[in-house]
Amino acid sequence: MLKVKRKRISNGVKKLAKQEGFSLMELLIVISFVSAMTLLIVAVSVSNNKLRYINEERTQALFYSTEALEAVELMNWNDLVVGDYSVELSGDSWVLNSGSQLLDNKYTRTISVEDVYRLDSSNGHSYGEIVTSGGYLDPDTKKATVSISWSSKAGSSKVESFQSYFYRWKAERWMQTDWVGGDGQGTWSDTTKFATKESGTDISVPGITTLQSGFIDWNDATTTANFDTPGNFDENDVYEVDDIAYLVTENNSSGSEFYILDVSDIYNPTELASLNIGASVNSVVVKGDYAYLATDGNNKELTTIDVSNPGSPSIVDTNDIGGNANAFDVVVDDTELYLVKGKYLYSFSLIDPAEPDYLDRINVDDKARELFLSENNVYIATEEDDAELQIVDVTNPANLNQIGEYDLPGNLKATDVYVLGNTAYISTQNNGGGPEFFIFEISDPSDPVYIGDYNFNETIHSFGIVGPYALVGTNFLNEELSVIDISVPASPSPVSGFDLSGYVLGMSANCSIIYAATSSNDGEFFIISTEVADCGYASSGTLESSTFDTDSAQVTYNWLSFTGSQPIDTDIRFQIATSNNSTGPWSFVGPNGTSGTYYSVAAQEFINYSAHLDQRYMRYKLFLNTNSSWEVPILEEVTISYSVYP
Amino acid sequence: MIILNKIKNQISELRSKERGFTFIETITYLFIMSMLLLIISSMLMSIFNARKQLQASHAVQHNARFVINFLSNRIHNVDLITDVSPASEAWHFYQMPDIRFSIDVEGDDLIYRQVQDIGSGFPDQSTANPLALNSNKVVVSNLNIYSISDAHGNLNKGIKIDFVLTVGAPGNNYGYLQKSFSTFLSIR
Repeated sequence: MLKVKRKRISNGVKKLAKQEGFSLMELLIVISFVSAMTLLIVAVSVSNNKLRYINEERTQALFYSTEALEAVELMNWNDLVVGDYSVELSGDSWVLNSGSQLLDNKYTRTISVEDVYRLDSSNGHSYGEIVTSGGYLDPDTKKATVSISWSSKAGSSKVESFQSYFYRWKAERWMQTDWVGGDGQGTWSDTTKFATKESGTDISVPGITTLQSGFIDWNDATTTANFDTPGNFDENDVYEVDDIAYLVTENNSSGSEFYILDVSDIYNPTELASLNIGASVNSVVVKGDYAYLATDGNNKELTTIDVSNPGSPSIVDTNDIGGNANAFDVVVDDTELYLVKGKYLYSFSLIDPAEPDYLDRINVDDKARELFLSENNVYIATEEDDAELQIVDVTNPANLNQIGEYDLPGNLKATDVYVLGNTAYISTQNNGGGPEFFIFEISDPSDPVYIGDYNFNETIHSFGIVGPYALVGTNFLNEELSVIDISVPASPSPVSGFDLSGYVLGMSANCSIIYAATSSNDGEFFIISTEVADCGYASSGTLESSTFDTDSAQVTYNWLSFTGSQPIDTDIRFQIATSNNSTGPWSFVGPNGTSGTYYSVAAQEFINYSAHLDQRYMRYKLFLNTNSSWEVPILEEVTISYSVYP
Repeated sequence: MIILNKIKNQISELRSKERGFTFIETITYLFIMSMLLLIISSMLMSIFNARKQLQASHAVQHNARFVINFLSNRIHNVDLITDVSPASEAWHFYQMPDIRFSIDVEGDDLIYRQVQDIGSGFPDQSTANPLALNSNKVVVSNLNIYSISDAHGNLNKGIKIDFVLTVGAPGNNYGYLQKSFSTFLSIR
C-alpha cells in the first residue's frame, strides 16, 4: 500500500519537473491562422473596392454609349458610311468626326458604322431578317456599334460595347377609303375625291369603288326555264359561274344531291352530270376546279368535289368535323374556306384546294345558318335570339376573333346575310307583324348601326343583292320571289314579285338573270331573266387619284395594299406614278418599273424602289376588270406606305 | 517514513523554484496584444468603411441608371419638345397631342409630372401627381436640359441632360459620394 502511494507521488513530482512554454509548432499555427484571417479581410476589402470601381466605370460607359448612339440618330444619313467615328457637340447639334475620341482623360469611345444585309429582296427592296453573311444590301439600314474602353482603377483594361440598328426612313401612310366625292380634284385635300375616272367605274356607293352595274329592270322579268331534278327533293342552293350552274338538294336516298347544269342557254338548261353525295347538301360554292359543299353528313360535313371536268365530277375529299350538327353554309376566298356548322364557325386553309385543312373554330352561341365573307370579316346569320348578326374577324384565319354583333328586336332567328361595301343586310323568320329584312351601316364592323328595314310579314328563306335591288325569297305561296329597291336604305320599296311554285331556298343572281333553287316539286330550279340582253355591267374601269404630296424630296415608297372583294374572274390592280413636279407628268408603272405590270397583291406588295426614289409627288391608278357575267370587283380601301427623310 | 520526508522535501524544493511573470514578459505580452487588437480593429473599420462606400456608390449608380432608362423610354416616344422658359417646368415633352410631361428638380428630387388635355386645355404641370425618379437616399441637383437640333437644322430633336447625384453628407468620409452625369437622348 505504501509502495503504491510512493510511486504515485514520484510520478507527480516528475510531471511537475517537465512543465515548459509553447512549442514552435503551436506558435506557427497561431501565426498562420492570424495571417490567413488578415489576408482574407484584406482580400474582401480589395474586392469590394474593385467592385465599386467597376460599377462606377460601367455606369459612366453606359452614359457615354447612350449619348453616342442617340447622337447618331440625328446625323445626316449620307454621312453614315462604313468606318469609325466620334461625336461632339458643336453649338446646338452633334458633329460626326472620323476616328475615336478620349473622354474624361480615361474613356476611349469609338462609333463603328457597318452596312446591313437582309435575307430577301423584292422590287428593289431588301427585307426580312438581318443576316451576317450573304443576303442583300439594305441601303436604308445601318448598324452602329459603340465601344468604350478604359484602364480600370480595378487594375485591368475594360471594354463595353453597345449596338443599335438605324433605319433611314420614317414610315408614313396614305390611305383612301371613299371616292363618293367624285372627280376633278387635282391635288389631294378632300379625302373622298380623286382626279379622273372612266365611265365604267362606279363610285356612287359610299365606301367602295366598283364597276358600273348598268341597267336593271325587273318590270318585264319572266321565268325563262326551269329544271326538274329527280324526285321531290328540295333544292337548297345554287351557284352559277361561267354559264355553269351547280345545284345541291336535300338527301335523295336513291339518287344524287349534286347537279351540274349548262345554263348558257337560259331557255334550255341541260344537265351535264350529277353526283350522289349521300346526304342533304345545304350550300355550294365553287372556286377554280373545286366545288365545296356544306352537308348534313355526319362524317362529311365539308365535301370537296373536283369539277375541273363538269361532265365528270368526283369527290376528292370529305371532312368529318365532329359532332352530329349539320353544316349549313360555306364560303371561300383565295386562300381560306369558312363553314358554319351547329354553333361554330370553322376556318380551313385552301393551300391545297383539293384538301381543305382545318385551322380554327369559334363559338357563335346558337345555330349558325348563313355567312358572308367581306374583307377580313365573316358576317354570320344565327338563330341566337340575342345576337342574330355576328361578326368575326378572320384576319388571322388560324385565330378567329369575334368583333361585333347585333341583337335584332324580339327573339328572331336570322336566315341569311349579305354585305356590300359598308352595308350589311340580314333576313329573319316571320317576325309576326314586324320587319324581317334589316339594313346596317358597318363602316365599323365592331359596331353595326341600324339604318333601315322592310316588313314582308313572312319568313325570308334567302336573298341576294344586285345593284340597288334586293332579291328576296319569301314564304309566300303566290310570290315566292320579291324584288325591293334598297337604294334608299332607310325606306326600301317594293318593285316586283314572281310566283315560282316553290320557296326560294338559295339563289345566284346578276343584273339580268336570277338562278333560283326552290322547294318546288315540279321543276325545282328556276331561271328568271329581265329580258334585257345587255344589262350594262362595265367589264373594266379605271380611276386616277389626286396628287399626294409627301412633303419631301427625300422619299421612298414602300408598299401598296388594298382591301375589297375580287370574285372569280374579276381583279383589282394598281400602278404608281411619281414626280418631283406637282403637275406631273404622270407615268404609271408597276412592280418592275414598266407600264406593263401591276400591283395586284391585296395583302401587301413592295413598290418598285428605284423607279420612285426621291420623287415627292405621287398618284395611284386603279384598274378594275371583270370577265364574270355578273360579278364585279369592289375596292374598299387602298393604302400606300412611304417614308420620308429626315 | 524517511522516504516520505525525502519526497516532501523534493516537492517543497520544486515549489520554491516557481515564480510569476517577469516585468519584461508582461510588457511583451501587452505589446503583442495591443498590436493584434489594433490590427484587427483597423481591419474591421476598413471593412465597414468599404461597405459604406460600396453602398453609397451602389445607390448613385442604381439611381443614375434608373433615371436614364426611365427618361429614354419617355423621350423616345415624344413627338414634340417645347421650351416654356421661364416657367418653373422649363421643358414640355408631348408624347401625344393631348399628353405631355415635364421633368424638374423639386427639393432633393427629380420629379416627373404628366398631364392630359381632356378638351379644356392642358392643366398646369404642378397639378399633376409628382413622380420622384430618385430614391430617398439620393439627392438630385444641378439639372440642366439643352435642346439639340439634328444635322438638317431641325430644332428640338433631342435633349442633352446633365444632373448631379449625391449620397450622404460631405463630412461623412465614407458614406458621401457625389457624381455628375451627362448624356443625350433623341426623340424618334
